[in-house]
Amino acid sequence: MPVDDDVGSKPHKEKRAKEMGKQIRMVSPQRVQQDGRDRQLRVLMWGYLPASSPQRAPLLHPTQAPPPMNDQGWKSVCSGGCGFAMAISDGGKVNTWGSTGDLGQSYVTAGKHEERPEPFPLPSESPIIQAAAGWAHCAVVTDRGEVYTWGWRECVPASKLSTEANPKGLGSGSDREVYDAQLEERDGNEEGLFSRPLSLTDLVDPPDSALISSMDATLKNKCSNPSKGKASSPIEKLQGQSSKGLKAPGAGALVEKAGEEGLKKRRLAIEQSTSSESSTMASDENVSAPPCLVTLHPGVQIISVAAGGRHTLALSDKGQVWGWGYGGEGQLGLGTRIRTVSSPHPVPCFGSGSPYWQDIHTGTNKGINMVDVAFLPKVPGSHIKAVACGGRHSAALTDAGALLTFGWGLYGQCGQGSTDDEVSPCYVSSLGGLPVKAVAAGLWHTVCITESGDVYSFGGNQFGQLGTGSDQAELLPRLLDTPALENVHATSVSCGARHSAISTDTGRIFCWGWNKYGQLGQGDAVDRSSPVEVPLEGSCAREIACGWWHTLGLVVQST
Amino acid sequence: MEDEEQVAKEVRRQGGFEYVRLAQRAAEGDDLAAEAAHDMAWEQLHSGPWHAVHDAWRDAYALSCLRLATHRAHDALRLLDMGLLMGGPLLKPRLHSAIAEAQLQQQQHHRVLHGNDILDSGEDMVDDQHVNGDVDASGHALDTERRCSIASDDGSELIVHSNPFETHSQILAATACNPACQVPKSMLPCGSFCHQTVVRKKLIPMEEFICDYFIPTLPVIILNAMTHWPAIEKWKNLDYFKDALGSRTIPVEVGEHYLAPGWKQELMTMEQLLQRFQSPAESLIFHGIHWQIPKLKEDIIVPDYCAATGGELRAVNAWFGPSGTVTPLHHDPHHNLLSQWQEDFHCGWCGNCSR
Repeated sequence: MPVDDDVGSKPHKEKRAKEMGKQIRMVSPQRVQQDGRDRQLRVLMWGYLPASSPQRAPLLHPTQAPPPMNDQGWKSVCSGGCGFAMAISDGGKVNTWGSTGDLGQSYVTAGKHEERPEPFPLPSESPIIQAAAGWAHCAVVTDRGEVYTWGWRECVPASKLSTEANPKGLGSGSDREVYDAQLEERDGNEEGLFSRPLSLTDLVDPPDSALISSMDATLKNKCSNPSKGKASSPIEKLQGQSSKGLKAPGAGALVEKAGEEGLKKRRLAIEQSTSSESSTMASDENVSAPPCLVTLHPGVQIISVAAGGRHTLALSDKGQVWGWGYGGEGQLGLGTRIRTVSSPHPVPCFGSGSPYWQDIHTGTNKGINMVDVAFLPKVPGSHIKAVACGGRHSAALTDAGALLTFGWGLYGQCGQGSTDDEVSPCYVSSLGGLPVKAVAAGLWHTVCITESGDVYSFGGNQFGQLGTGSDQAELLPRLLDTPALENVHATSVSCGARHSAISTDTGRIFCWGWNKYGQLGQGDAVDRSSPVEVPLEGSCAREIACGWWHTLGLVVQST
Repeated sequence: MEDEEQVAKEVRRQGGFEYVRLAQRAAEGDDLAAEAAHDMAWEQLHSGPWHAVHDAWRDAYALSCLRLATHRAHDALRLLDMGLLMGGPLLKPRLHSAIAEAQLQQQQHHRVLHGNDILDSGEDMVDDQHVNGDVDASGHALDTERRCSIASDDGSELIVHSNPFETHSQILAATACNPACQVPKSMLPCGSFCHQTVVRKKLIPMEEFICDYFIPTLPVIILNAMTHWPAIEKWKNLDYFKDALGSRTIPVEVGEHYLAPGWKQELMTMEQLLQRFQSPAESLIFHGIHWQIPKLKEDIIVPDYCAATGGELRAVNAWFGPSGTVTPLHHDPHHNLLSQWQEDFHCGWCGNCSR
C-alpha cells in the first residue's frame, strides 16, 4: 500500500476542529509533504478497552481514539496495560483511557478517564518521551532522563519502604515481611545492594497534598502536609538534599561496598494512609502507589522503559539496563531468583569481563552480584539498545543485533531450545549473525524482527500467538514465512498477553494470536494462528503498541 | 457476599485491579464482564509456574467459574467442575452446591426430553480389571509364590500392608499387567518374589491386626471387609456412573503408566471416559474421585483398620480404570490400606529391611 500524504477532507477537518474546541492549523497537502510534523497523527484502537465502546463491548474493528485533552495530537502509543490504554500526546503528556475507571486502586494505575484520554498527573512537568505499562503498573521517562512509576506496589520501588531503619515510620507490616523475605532470598554477594536502606526515611516529608489532591478525592492522604507547591515537594527536597552529598548513617558503607561509583539508594516515602475509602475498596493496606521517581545511579539518564507482569526494565543512554520488581523466574537477569528487588539494580548483559561493565564500575566488581562470567557465552556487542518485558520474562538487544533473553522459560519463550528458566541474560545463539532490530514479549512468547524485515517468534503458541500456523510451541526462534508476510518488511513489533502485531515499512499492520476480544482488529472474535492484515482504511501506521488485550496503532491520516 | 469480598481483597493485593472491577460488574449481572473475569483469572493461573500462582488467583478463578456458570446454563457443569479442579479451596462448598443444583436441572431437562428416568446407554458392562502382577491368558495368577491377592468369591477383598517411617522398607507395587506386557523376572531386583505369600485372613479383629501385622510390618489381605459398602452393589453396573456423573468433567491419566512416554492428563466427561474404557488400546485412570465428586465418597466406608495408626487419615484416594492399568513401582510415605473391589488385582511388595 503506498504511503498516502494527503490531509483529511474539509468536512473532517471541521469536525475535528469542533472536537478540540480550538483552531487547528489548516494545512495544504503540499505543506504536509514537506513537513512531516504537520501531519496529524491519530490513534486507532481495537480490542478490550471497556470504557471505549458502548455496553463495554470489545472493539472488533480499529476505532479512532478521541484526541488527547488540551493538546494537538498524538506523538506516540505505548504498550501494556490490562484494560486501559496509554499514549503520549504532542506536548509530551501521558494520556490514559479505556478503563471504566472508578474509585480506588484501579484509578491509581489507570487514571480516572473512562472514555476520554486524559493526562495522568505526574509530579514533574517535564515532557514525557517514552512510557510503558505492565499488568498493573506504569512507567514513564521524561526528557530529563528520569523515570516515574506508579501502580501496583509490588512494582514500585519507592513504595517498598522498609521499616527496618525507622520502625515507627511509614510502611505497613506487610512491607516488612516482604522486605525480610527479600533479605532471605538474596544471594550472599548482594549485601551491599539489598541490605538496609539509607535512613533517608527520616528525612522525607509526608506526601505533598497538592499532588494528592489532583487525584481522586478519596485517595487524599490523611496526614498530608500542606505544602507550598512543587518546589517543596518531597521529591525535589530529596533531590536537593542528595545533591548536597547528604550522608545518612550507613550510606557511606553502602557506597564503599558497591564500588566507587556505587549505587546510592534513595527511597521515597510517599505513603498513603490506610484510611478507609469507598466500600468497593479494601479498607486495609493500600496496594497501589502514586507516581514516584525512580532513583538510580546519579547521572544515569534513562531513555526507555519496559514494563512486564510484575517487573520493570529501564535502559540508559549509555546502553546499561536496570531492573526492579519481581524476579522469581529470573526475569531481572541478576543471576539468581529473587522475589523482590525493591530498588533498581544494574542488569549484567555482557558479563563483568566486558570493557563496558568495568568502565561503569571503575574496574572493580565489589558488591555487584554477578553470574560466574567464565561460563557466559560471548555476547556480540558492547551495549544494549532496546529492552522488552513479557509476563515473566525479558529480552534485550545489543548494538550488534544480538538478542538476549532471561526469565521464565517454561514455554520456550527464552528461545534457548529448552523449557528452563534463565536467570541471567542469555544469548539467543540460534539466530546466529542475523541482526535483530526489535523485540517484544507477551505472557508466554517472544517475537523479534531482523534488520532485513523478517519476523521470528518462539515460546508458547496455544492461541496462535507465534503466527506459525499451528498451535505448536517453539523452543527456538522460528521464521514466519507465511505467504501473508511475503515481500513484507517488518519495522516494529509489539506483543500483548496472547497476541502479536507488527507494522511494516509501508505502514501496514499485521496481527495474529488470540482474538476473543478483537485484539486482531478483524471484525470478529476468531483467533488467527497466521498473520492477518489489519484494515486501516487508507491510513498508514507509524507505530504499533499492544496492550494486554488490545492493540493501538499510531496512524497518519490519509483521504 | 463475604467470600467474594475476601477474594476481591486478596486479588487486589496481587495487582488484580481490573479483575476486581470485572467481578463487581459480573456480580451485577454483566455477562461480558463475567466472561472477561473468567478469562483473566484463567490467564493468571497460567502466567507463571504453578507453584508460584498465588492462592488469590485460584480463588478468583473458582469465583469466576461460579459466576460465569450462571450466565452459561448449557456449559454450567463443565465450568463448575473446572472451578473445582483448578480453583482454590475457598469456594469449593459453593461450587459443590451449584453442581448439585445444575445436575438436578439437567436431570429434569432430560426427563422432559426423553420421557423416562433411565438413560439408554446401550453399553455393556465393562470388565473392570485392575490387574497387576503376572497373569496368564485366562487372568489367573501364574504363580502362587508371586501372587499377593486374587479375586475372592464375593468379588471383594482388602489388602493391607504397613510401612512405618522408621524402617527402610520399599514397597513394590505392580509389575506386569497383561500377557502383552509381562515384565521378565530378570528386570526386577535380586531377591524379588522370593518372600512368602501374603497371608489372607477373613475379617480379623483389630487387636490381631495391630499385633500380628501392623506392628511387625507384615502385609496382610483381609477378606470380606467391604461387604457392607454401598459401592459393592452400586458400582456393579457402570450405568450408575453414567447416570449420576455422566456430564461431570474429570481429569484422566492417559497412557500406559506415568513413567511411560506419551503419558498425559486429559479432561473429559465421565461419559466419555466410560466409552473409552471399551477401547483396549488405551490405558486410562481417573484418579481422585472423592474430593471432586462427594457422591461417590458416600458409597465407600473407610475401614476401621485405618484407625490402627492412631494418627489421622491422611488421604482417601481412588483410582478408577479399565483392565490392564498398571501402577509402576513406587514408594508411599504413609501407611496404606488398599481396597480392591473388582476382579483381579495383582500386586507385589518388596519389603527390604536390610537397607
